[in-house]
Amino acid sequence: MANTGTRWCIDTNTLVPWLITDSGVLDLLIKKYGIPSDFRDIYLNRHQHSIDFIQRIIDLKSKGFSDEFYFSYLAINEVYSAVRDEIRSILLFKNGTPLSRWSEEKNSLDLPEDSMKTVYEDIENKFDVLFGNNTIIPLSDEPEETGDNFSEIVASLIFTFKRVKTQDAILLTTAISIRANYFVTFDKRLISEVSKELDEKYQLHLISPNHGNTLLKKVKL
Amino acid sequence: MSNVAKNIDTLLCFEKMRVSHSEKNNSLQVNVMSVFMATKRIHNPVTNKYYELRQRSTVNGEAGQIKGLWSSKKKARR
Repeated sequence: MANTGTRWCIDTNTLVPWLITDSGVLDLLIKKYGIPSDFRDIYLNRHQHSIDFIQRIIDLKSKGFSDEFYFSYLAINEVYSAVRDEIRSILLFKNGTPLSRWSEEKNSLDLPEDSMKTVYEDIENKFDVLFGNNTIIPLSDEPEETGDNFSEIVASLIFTFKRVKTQDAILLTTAISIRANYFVTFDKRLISEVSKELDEKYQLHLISPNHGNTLLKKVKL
Repeated sequence: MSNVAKNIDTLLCFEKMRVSHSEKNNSLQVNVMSVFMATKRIHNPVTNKYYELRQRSTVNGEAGQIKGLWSSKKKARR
């Protein structure tokens, strides 16, 4: 892999807010259920840094920015379950379910069948914007042909850090394996648990979308 | 012959090799198949576009430079 610029790996939770807003999926569901605009404002307020981060990548890459932004194949496929979670949140909000019961009731909700084909197509259309011109590069999760120690690193992360989940470990190991400089995640728990050790061991910096924005704002082309 | 035609011809040649050796020599089949697997793509069925999937590569000397947080005893003895 050529050394051209700083390498960034993006977590699913950082990409999905841009995807769900820019594709029109959020507006579609808000309109469908007649949800007050307050919900949209709350959502945008919570995820504005992630949305800005992805949009800034798109803008910078269109101007020839040489840094490389990666999104693993696992993360691409995780997008669908992340979108499902967002839709379920909208349904829980619509139903007036108390926040304390969201995690308990989330998995029992059916998605709106009449809208899911549109949701899927809207997402796929936006994939063209993200991946079509290598703005963000899809990255294989498969082992190298000559063998590698991917699983050893996954195991070490799982055994060392109590709260690291399988998906977290795979995405982090993918970032480590391409010697990424940054792993951008909305997951504050993950940052607080592993950032110090991964920084020392692999020079991989776990940062929030807000921090990513700060770094990208300094870019002069 | 155009470059595209040459490439197609080469691929067809590999395909013939794969078929002819598939039953006789499994290892050769694996080697030839790796040629076909070099560039993997994601297909977007909605837009009918393909995105190239970047492979993690050892070509630039990255193999063996990734170290786990711990190593197995077998490795440590080497």
